[in-house]
Amino acid sequence: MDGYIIETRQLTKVYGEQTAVNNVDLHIKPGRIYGLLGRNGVGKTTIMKMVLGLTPITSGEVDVFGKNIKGCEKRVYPRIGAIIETPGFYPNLTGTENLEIFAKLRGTTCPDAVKNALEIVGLPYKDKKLFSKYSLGMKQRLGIANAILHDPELLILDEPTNGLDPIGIAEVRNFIKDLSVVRGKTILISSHILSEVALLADDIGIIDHGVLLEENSLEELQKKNNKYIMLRVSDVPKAALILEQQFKLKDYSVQDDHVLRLYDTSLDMAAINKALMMQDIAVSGAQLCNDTLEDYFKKITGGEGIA
Amino acid sequence: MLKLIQTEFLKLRRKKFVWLMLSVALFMPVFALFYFKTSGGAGIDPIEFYKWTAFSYTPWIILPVVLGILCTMLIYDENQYDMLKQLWIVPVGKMEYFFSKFTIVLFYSVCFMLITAAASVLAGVIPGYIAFSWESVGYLLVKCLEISVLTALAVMPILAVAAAQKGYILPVCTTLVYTFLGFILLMVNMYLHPLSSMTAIVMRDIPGVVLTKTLNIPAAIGCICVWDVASVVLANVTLKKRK
Repeated sequence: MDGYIIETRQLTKVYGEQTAVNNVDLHIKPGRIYGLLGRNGVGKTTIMKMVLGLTPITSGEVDVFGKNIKGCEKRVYPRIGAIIETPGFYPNLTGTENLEIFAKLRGTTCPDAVKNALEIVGLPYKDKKLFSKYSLGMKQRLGIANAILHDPELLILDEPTNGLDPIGIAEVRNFIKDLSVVRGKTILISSHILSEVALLADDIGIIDHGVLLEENSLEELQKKNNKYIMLRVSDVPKAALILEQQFKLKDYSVQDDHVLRLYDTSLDMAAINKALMMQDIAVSGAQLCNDTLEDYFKKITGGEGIA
Repeated sequence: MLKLIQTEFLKLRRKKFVWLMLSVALFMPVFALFYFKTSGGAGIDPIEFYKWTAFSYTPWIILPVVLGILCTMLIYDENQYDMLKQLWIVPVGKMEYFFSKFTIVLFYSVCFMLITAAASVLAGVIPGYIAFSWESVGYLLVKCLEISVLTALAVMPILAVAAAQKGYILPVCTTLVYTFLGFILLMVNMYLHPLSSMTAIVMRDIPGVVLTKTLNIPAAIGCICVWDVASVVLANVTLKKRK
């Protein structure tokens, strides 16, 4: 497929003996929010650094705006706004002064660029408060303001909601969404918070141990989630025996002493219920369920879920 | 590049220590006030007085140490607060970054020596130790500018060392060793160390100062240039690695 804003091919990063990123192929479409989801330390930041040309690539290629980033950094950077890890600023300056420095360096022509960027993230303009006195949330907001200061086409945001309170997270989520929907920005965002990515991203890449396990749209990922009937009974072994013998059912799993999952959702629940009742097994619940994205994440990473 | 230099000045806002270090420029003139008072001196030759206040310990030790600490501060702060990533993606060129820092060091050095010059004149004329003459003040100013430019060039290796790594201990230690080594090597071979070469060039025409060996100015300038080129190469290589 043509027209990706970011495309990586077999992107690999090796630190000594350790492979931090292993043959990752990312495809980020214009105007969409791409959520790079994975636990801490799985290679999300390394991928972002390689996309930005901030760390050398061991092997593979990165195309940004259709051009290989290597050697083209200076032409591409003015079109990108980024936060990588914790955004750092000069502690002896105020937020406005810090942004004025970056506006000057970038040659930003709009006279209200700093004011507008601060307004978007909800920070005061010309405030006297020094950056050293900022809370973590304010620092994160200032980082985002710096990233959007020059009205870039592409935003690369590494865990932008880190350190924000729940209301702050919701605010940041809303304006990131607005940047994409209203202003048509393409956004690559990384997070270890699954619910955040699920609420924000159009496309999701799931990464684990440096390997991109899945890349798909949120809709497609949700379609892939399993449907099942959760059956709550008084005696699971006896119920399982009945299901196998009378209904020839093999596709089920035992969750605990009282819960079974039946993966064939076309089963006649009334008949099952009746059969179990006949054998003195109390059925306290039967419910059609969908796997959550977290369940899906657990399944494909083969481990525990993330927040 | 001009924008980068402008922003370097903006970054120095509210940095009290940077301004405090400028007050060290008053040290030798103030010391001279007391020294010449105790030696009961009026009618001292102005050049002799300025030699004491501006041409002795200031270029040999005080200014190189102050500039070394400034170099460390300029680079260390950006490392400490993880600023470099943000600067590179602006984009700011590695060499532009290095030379903008050097420009600040040069400007600071000039300011430092001009303060020394002004304080020297005041410390000599107001108590009446020396008679005011435009000729001697002109000589003092020219010499102070010469010292400031040459010293800034001579401390470029410290700036490169500061740019090469993240901490501040090594650049500060390097500053001290580098400064005293320059002072010592002046007696041995003045073309080995930039500070020795700088001192020799500055001392060449100060009345009453006799160099133990004949000064070869091109060789002294060559020494400073070789070290500066090596510093630029080191800074270029290390800044490229430190993305």
